Amino acid sequence: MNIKDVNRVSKLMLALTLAGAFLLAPMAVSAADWRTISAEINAGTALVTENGFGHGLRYGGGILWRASGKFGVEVLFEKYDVPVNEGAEGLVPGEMRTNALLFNSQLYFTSRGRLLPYAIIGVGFYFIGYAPDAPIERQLDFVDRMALQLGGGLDVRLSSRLAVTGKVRYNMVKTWVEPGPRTDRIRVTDPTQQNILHLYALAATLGLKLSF
Amino acid sequence: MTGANPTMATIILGMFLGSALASGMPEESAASSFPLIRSFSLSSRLPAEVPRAAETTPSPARILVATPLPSSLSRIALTPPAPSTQAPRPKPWLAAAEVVGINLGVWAFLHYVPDAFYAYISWETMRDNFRDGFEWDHSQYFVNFYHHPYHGYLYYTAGRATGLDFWGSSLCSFGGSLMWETVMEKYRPSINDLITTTYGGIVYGEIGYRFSALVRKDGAHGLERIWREAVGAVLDPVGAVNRLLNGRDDSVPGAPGRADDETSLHGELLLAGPVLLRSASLEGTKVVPLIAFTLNYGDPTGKGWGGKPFDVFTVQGRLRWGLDRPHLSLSIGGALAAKKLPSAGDSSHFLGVYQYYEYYGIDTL
Repeated sequence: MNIKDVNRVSKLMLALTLAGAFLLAPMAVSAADWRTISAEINAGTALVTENGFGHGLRYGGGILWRASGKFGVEVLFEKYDVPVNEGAEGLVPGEMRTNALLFNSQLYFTSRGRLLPYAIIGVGFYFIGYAPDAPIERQLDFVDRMALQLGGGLDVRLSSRLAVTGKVRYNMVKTWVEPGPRTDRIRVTDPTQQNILHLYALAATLGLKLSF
Repeated sequence: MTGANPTMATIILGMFLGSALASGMPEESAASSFPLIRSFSLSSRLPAEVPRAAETTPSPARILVATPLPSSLSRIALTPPAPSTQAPRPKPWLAAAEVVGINLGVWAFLHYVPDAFYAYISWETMRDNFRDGFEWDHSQYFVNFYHHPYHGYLYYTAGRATGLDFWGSSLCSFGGSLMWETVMEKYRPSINDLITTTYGGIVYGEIGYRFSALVRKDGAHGLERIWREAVGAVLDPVGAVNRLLNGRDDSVPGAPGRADDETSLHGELLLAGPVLLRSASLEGTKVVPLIAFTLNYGDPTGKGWGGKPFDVFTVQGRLRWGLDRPHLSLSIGGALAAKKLPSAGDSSHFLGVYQYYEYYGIDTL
């Protein structure tokens, strides 16, 4: 999937979500009731701010557990691929393919009304792959990392069970590139002696949340 | 362990017998036995007019001549608020969430602010840690015996702040330490760090919790409220955060110092100087100032014992300016389980199983 396709899909998802929200808005509820378990799917864009890296489609889904009206924990699996340009950390052009397993706490500012804004603080395991456009002599890999994620979101409740959810998050992955495959334990490598890449990514997604 | 300044810490579970005799105590037993590793010791409730000597346990490594302050200036006494009767509702899941939050918060700070190399963790480092198992950590003494217990102290007070009792909070200290050791560092998990974090965290945490509860006061407002909350936050930072988030409730029943109106806090502060020091590693003598204190929460003879761990404990500290830098020693011992023994007349006896945490440098004694 190239950049044009990514942008096309992102715009389509955005349009469909907004259309759904407008169509269903009259059914909105304002009661303070909240449900313990929700399932979510989302899609949007991821923009990696490190020089030499681009932006791409980000999508995924997961489960949210609301411990109270003000606090919830979600587990998400998300995927995003971004292009790697010539010169980025000595890499040849290609694609950085990331799978992320995220554990986020959601701190709701209110549990009443149709609009439920919340803050996101979480961590994620980032499994990062590198796929060069052309074959290279020596295998290179990004080192997998755990990273912090901060952001915020807004639930637009369409009914007591269904909500449109928008999120803006900042993932702060610090990693490096190393020749592979590794033969020793990762703890033997001193990160402070590596050329650290700050693969910080701004992610903006829209999704649907179905509560049970 | 540092070579230039040999230091040592001990963690002890021991028996303690405290007695107050109507006819007075032998002079030897009236003094602090600070430098000794105690598995059995004798103490007493001292008459007010008997001053405590600064250094009464001479060892081959030192001879001290101290000039203590008049006892009338150095002795303080506080009486905690009246007791309450209703126990708070424990919130173990919230406690667990706070322990996890503390670990993630500390990790995030270490990873993004000082860029600590050991904070570069991933699924892979966690998998390796479980595969390789525990090892013995040879980190710096100060890190292993002060930083780690402080970390455990945060876990422990998270339990206390969410209504857990001593044992439940101790489990928080253990669980938090186990999580940190196994998944939050790229190092292999360390068995001695697990022990010192858990054990030291329990001791520091319980006394921090109890002292903070003495400082915080229901109904305080204005400047008094500010200084009480500020001091309480230093003594119990996790509890302070909980008070900010959940609202303060100083009438929380079961809080330390409120369960038994006989519990009291007695302290001594010693400013000594000049001190003449002579040791095997020092030729001649050196004049150094010395600050020492002793705090008795409850009474070593059992007054104030309400049946809960650390209803009675003693904190002893000593700060001495050494040849190169200040040296701090701390000795904390609290009753885990105890029994008042039958007594006759004005005499009283108190037999207990005590938990000790002692942190000191040998050359500071």
